[in-house]
Amino acid sequence: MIELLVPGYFVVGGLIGVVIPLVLHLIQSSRTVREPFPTIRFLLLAQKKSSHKIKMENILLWLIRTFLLVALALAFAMPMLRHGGAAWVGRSARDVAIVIDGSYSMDYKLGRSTAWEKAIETAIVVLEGLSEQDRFCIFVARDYVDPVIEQLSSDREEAVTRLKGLSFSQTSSELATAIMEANDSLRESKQKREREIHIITDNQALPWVGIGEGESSTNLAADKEGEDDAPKVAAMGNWDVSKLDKRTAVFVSLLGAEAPENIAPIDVKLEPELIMADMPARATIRLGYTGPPRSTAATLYIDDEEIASRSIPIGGGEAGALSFIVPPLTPGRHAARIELPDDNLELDNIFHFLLKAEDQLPTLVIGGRDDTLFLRSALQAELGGRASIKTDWVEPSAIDTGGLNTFSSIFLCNAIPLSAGEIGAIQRFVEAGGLLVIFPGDRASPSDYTSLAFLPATPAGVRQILSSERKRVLSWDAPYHPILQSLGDASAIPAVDVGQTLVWDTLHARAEKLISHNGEPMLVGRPVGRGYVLLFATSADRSWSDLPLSPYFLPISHQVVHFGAGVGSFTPYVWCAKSLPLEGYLPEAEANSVIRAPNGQKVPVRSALVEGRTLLNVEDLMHAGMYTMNDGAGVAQPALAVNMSRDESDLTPLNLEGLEERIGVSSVYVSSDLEDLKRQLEESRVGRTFGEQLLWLALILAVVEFFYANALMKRGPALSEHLTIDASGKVSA
Amino acid sequence: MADEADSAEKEGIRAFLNPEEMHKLNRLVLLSRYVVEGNLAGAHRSPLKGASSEFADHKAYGLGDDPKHIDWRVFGRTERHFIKRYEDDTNLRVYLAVDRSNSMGYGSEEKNDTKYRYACRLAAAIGYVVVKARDSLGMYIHADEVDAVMPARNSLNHLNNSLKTLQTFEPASTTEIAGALNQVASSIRHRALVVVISDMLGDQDAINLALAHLRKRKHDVIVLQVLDPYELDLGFKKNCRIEDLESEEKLVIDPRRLRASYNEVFGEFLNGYRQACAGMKIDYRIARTDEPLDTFVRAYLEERRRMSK
Repeated sequence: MIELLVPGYFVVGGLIGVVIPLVLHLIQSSRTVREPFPTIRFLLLAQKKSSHKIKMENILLWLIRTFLLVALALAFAMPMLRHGGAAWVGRSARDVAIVIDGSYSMDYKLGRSTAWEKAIETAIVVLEGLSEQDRFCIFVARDYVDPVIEQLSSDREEAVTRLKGLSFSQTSSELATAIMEANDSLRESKQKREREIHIITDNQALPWVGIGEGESSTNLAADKEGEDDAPKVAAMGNWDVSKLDKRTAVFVSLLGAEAPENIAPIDVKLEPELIMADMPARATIRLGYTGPPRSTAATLYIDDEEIASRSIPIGGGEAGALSFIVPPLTPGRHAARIELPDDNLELDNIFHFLLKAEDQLPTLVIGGRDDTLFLRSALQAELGGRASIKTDWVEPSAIDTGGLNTFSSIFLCNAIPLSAGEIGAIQRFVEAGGLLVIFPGDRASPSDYTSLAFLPATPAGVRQILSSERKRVLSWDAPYHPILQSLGDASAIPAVDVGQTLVWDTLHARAEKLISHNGEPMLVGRPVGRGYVLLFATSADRSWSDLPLSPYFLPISHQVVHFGAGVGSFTPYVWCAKSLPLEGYLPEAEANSVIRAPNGQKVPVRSALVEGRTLLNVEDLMHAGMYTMNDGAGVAQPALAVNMSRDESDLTPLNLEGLEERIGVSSVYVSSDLEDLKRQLEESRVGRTFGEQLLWLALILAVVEFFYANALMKRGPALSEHLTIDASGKVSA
Repeated sequence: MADEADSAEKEGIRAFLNPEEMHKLNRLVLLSRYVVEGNLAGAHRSPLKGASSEFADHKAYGLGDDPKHIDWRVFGRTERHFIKRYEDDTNLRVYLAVDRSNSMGYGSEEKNDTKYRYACRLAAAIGYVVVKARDSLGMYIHADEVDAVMPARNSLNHLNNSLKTLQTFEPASTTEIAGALNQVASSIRHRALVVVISDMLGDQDAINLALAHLRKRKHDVIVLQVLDPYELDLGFKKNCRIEDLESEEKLVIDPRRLRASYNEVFGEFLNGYRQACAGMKIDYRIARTDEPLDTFVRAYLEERRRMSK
């Protein structure tokens, strides 16, 4: 529909102006000079001959002039054309929802300001463009939806104050969820008002993953195993296009750079996973990038000392990898970080991680004295001149279920059956990343194993081996497994004398055979939670086999302990989170432990009683950096290396093609700067002025009128020229 | 205007021609393209046999023929009497028919003469050339009928008197000159040269018939159509209300828009005269009032002299 910006009397004036050509034509016709002429009969004939043509020309000329003035009058009346909207006449009241992307990619520098600052400025401009009767709500899309103003309100001053106090999160953004919540807020109003949703974000494609891509997307939890394979996508929440009112105008402000460039460390891997004190290690950093291929430099810091700096070319669409040699470290936790040179997105240039160097690996051996004699001897043996394993031994009747998490490995030697509480404690130990090694024995009947749900296989019985079959040659079924890796080159044939073994019918689906004889497993393993469970087929003493006396028993025992110390028991870094269970990441923490954020502030540690045991959670790990915890001596030690999720580091720009279809409403306005947005707002709220087009039309009509009128007025060739009368009066034609 | 005021005080030929113009006209002659019957010996061929040195033909001797004209050589060959005849040269009788209808009073610009005055000056110039060539000049002044007749004589006094008479007339009446021309045709008994000086804005068919009438009487006819440049080219620049000089009709026109059609209509009208005159072997010329008189007369007479050879 059309409405006019200028007051009505301008329009009336313009309409009066339209009759000017007609009036001028009439005045011009009446203003004639009296001229005598010899005879008018030829003029009458000529007029009769051309009167129709002249009349048509006059009408056409009058029409052109009238249209010219109409176009001019309309152009100055500033007609506005509106698309859709609830109101056909004038501007109606509206409800506006503003959704701001609060992810850390909004910290991208754009000249002197950042995308976040521009987003706040844009939101304020949107608010300032509203009238008194308009209402609004504001949401910030973080990794959760932050309702700045949840209910529709008209208090703009309060909203502006709150907007200016906002800051972005060091996380990804749940943009889709925030949009849906904003839409829900709009729908709560039953009044018939025009609705607008303003999505203010950078130019990043990531927040839009899942929006309008067919099915409703569900939360895509970060999968630790999948991180290596592909860049993670943001958790998008539920997107339900059917909830969107099709008449809602959606304004998308893409404030980021059109071709952003960013490099960020996205992962670190340590080799070996278990770092022993005074032993070198390798840290491999994976770098992700957006933009054209280029090179960058990375610097490794350990305990705030620069260790090494290296440069690497990045390009070809693949993430780069950069390895650093970690020098031998003293026992304990060491704060390490990788730093990249400053770029437009500085927040993801640093990647924090922990290096935990072990002096001795705490191992608990549970079993009778005779049952554990060989194992304890083997574990206490010094290799390379130092005892790397600290072994504790308890009888099965004296298990302290509360202190299991201080060990990296637990050996059960003929210790089954166990009480339900002990089994539960051991299961939690394993799931939290510990290694459980089970040697069978005569104490347990096959049915006693059924209560251990985490075994790689459930024993069906114990088989006595005939004397003729006792000699068994072992084969390493998984020669590259860390337990067997160092034994793979053994020149001697691994043979043991076995008197009886556990037998089982089937292995668990995730179980793997590590050592076997003619396909009959001697050692099987299974990952459970973040830990691992190993089950030997023979006992740890000589009653079932002479394995404890074999030359392989000692290295296997040590390898098992080293493997156990590296299996999920230590995580070099975690992602920013609102809450983190300490059991798996900081087992030494206690309810009264003081954990401090990088800025020195204490972060709350909450305890909860779950199934009769106390679980600790540290909360508000929303700031990247090294979190510390006081040790027994009250000295702050690195405890948790917290990094922002690197999803947001992928700044691949959004493809605007088909954005309207993805959002699913009829009016989608995409702007890249404030001026664009203002124009679109005006176009949507007031309408689009086509005054400029009318001025162009008026110009064209003026040109047409000029040439046409001149063509009409142009004097044709005089008759005397046509007749070519010579000096003697002779007519040639 | 000063010239016009001066000329108003002057009479006769001096009212229409200044000495310079007369000097330019001195050596010009107006020749007839056909034989004419004069009353004096002159430079023009006569239909009669006369005493010139140019042999014409033989004629059988008859009663009343002078025997001295008998060609004895022919008698010697044929034993019959024939008389030898020679061409007769006579003077030219030129009659000017000057139109004084109302339409002749039109003059578009002050610097130009009105058509009537231009016609008078044209009559004076031609008359001067005729008289200087010892030919006779007569004059008819007419509108829709003949108002005054001056017989053909070959004296400068007669020319002066005729022009004085012409001076006494002003444009009046309508341009129905066909009747007047018919009167002229009927009144001239011998073959003569009739010069029609008019704007010819009357009934074209009637005028053409009148011209045919003149030709029928074996007169050599010259039509000098006197036109104002505005008449030819419709030179008005602004919208104007045209008033007919004869009928007093009025018409509002946009001259710029009407010009093309007017050119077409008026061009057809002029072409009608041109074709009719060509058919009747009448010399048809257009005399524009913005053209210097002496130039026009000189150019025309020179061309006519070439054509008459």
